[in-house]
Amino acid sequence: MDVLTENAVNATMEGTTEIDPYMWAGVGTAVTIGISVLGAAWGIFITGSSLVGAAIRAPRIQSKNLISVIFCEAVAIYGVIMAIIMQTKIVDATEGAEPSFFAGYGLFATGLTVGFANLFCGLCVGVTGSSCALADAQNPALFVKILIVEIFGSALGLFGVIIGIIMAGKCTLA
Amino acid sequence: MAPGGMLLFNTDDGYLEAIIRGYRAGILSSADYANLCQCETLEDFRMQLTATDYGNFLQNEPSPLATTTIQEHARKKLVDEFRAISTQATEPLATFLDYLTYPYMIDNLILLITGTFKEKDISELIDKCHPLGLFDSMASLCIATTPEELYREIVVDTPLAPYFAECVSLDDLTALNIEIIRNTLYKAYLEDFYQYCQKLGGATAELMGLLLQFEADRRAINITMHSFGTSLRKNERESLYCNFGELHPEGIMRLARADDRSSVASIIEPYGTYRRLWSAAMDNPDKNLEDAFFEYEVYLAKQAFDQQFHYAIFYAYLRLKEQEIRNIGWIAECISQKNKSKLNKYIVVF
Amino acid sequence: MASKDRLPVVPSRLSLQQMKTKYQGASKGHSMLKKKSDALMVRFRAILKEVYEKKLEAGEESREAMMALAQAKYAFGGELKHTVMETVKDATLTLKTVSDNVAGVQLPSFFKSEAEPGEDGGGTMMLTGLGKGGESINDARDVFTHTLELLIQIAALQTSFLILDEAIKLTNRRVNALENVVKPRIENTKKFIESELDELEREEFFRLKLIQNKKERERKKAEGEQAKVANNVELLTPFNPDKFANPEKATDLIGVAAGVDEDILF
Repeated sequence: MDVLTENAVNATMEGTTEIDPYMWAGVGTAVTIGISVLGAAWGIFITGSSLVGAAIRAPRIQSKNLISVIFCEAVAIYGVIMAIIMQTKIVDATEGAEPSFFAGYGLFATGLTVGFANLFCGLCVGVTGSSCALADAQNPALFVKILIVEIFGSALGLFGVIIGIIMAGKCTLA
Repeated sequence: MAPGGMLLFNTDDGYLEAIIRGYRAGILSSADYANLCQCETLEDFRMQLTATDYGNFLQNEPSPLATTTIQEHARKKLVDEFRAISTQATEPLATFLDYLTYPYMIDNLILLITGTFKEKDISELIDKCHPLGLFDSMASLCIATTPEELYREIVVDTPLAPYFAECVSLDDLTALNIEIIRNTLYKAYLEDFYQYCQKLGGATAELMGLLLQFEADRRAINITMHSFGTSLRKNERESLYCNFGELHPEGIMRLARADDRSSVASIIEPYGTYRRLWSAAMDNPDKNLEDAFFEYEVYLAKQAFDQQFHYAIFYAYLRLKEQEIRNIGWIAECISQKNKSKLNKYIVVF
Repeated sequence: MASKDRLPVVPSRLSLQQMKTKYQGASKGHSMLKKKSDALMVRFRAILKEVYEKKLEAGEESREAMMALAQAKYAFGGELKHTVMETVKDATLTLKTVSDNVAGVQLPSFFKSEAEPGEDGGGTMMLTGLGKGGESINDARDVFTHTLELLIQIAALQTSFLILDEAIKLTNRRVNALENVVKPRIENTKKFIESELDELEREEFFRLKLIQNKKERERKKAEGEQAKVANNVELLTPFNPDKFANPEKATDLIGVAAGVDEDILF
């Protein structure tokens, strides 16, 4: 590493340490819920517009394919759960004690992990759910088969949540 | 992002795509065709059609039923569906759907031009036009009495003006054979449409590319085959070929010099698809090359439905539905003429 | 009744001769008309057979043509009709009529003559469906042209058939009229004249006989006078006038009979 880059890295590191750990934890929590909801919403509109269109010719699919919407919705719920878990970690430090930088960074990383896992999970379930609605409208026998694909897709978000819980478990700000 | 993008396609077009797929479910199945073929009279035929997606579309027709009436109503249904879609479409789908109506407009415009030259009443001709190819300024073409006026009207007022202004000059309008004008316009349209689809990118570009290339090649082969023994000169013929397609440029160049059917056969020999179609048509005496082309078109159009989040299904749906109307017309014709020997010419879509 | 069966003629040798010539003429006409009628009949039968065959063929052919049209519509689309109708400028086929003479009857026969494909007229038709459907359209055009030829032939045959039918009826009527009306009438007239002439002859003969007798008597009388004078012998054969009745009266009777009752021929 040459001197210049080293300096730049050091400067960045110093810059980050100047940000309060509470800030990191708060932004992490916000990212968790925000990005998760973005994923869920995105998934729901992908699924939803196809579902609405397909239900015109095949109204029977609408209640069955609500499952796809619920799967997308679950992604937002993961975010909410994680955000709740994370906010329990953010406690006011006892008088005179410094808030832990480890916990701040940890909660921020948790937020990113869970948020993006849920975003892509939401997109995945959304696209699959849209296909599911269209396929079900053509041929009811396809519904269960694509539903399995969708379940695997929605499991992706769960992986993020699990990792997030483990990560968050190690972090206590004070 | 290209309209083929998986993540944003549904924002504008997901609903319409789902509706088109719903319509696609209404396309007659092979079982429906088998039932229709069993009919002895057109009354039975009407009964059978009520059981399908067509429903009661013929119920208000008085009894001796003409095959043209059946076809007309089937076509009307397609037009209604298409209109329902296109009124809800946003850009760029709206433009894409407009492109789909241009071929009909070309046919209508040609009809109007010939009518004007023969000093026929254009409002009478408008009734004969294909409903998908109607455009607002049609009525204003009635005013034109001389070729000059007509030309100006067309260039100023119709959606086809760019093609017209580009390919046909005022002198051509009177001097050239009307069929050549028609095919020149069609060529310009296809090339423009192809460019547009390529610009859209994604799955749309890919699938529409396949479909339009096939269309261009089919036209090239058809034009070559039918120009033998007519007054069409070779340089005129060459100007009717599109500048894209699987055959372009090498095959097209050689087609331009072809003199008879066997030379066409040898020209398309290196192209696997067309070689197969050619031999399929030659091996089966009941089938000509055009039937083979129709079959392949249906095959390509069906493939467009295998992918999601693209515009090609709108085009494919139109093609499949047209094939279905042709099939219905054919079966009805066979039934009304009591000629069952050729009944199996129809192409099952799904 | 009887008078209707014969021509109003004065019975005479001349008219008999006329009748005989007339009769000969009628017989000759009769046999010629009969021959004409036979000739027409032969032609009629031939045409009938041909019309029958052609009509069957035309039925088959039109079915095929309609099928080909359906196929062209299938390939080109429903607007084929308008497209073709709007591009038509001149008739591509025209009819030529040539008349044929069968036993004095003029039979028209039609032939199609193809108009010269004009600079544009023929070309447009040939180019219809250039982009798609041209093959089927050409097929349909060929089949229809063939069907049209067949229809032209049928039209020619059908017209000949009707004209022949009329001609045969006319000829047969003439034959029958000659056979059943004219010829018997002439024959009757001939017989009438003959019998009348016979009657006249007999009358003449009778009159001659009477005159002869009278002359004889007179001669005898004269001879008797002479003999009376000479030998006064009654040589005269006794002549009984009653035996011959009254010649005046007899003549009268025939005259009256001939004048009053035409039925009495003798």
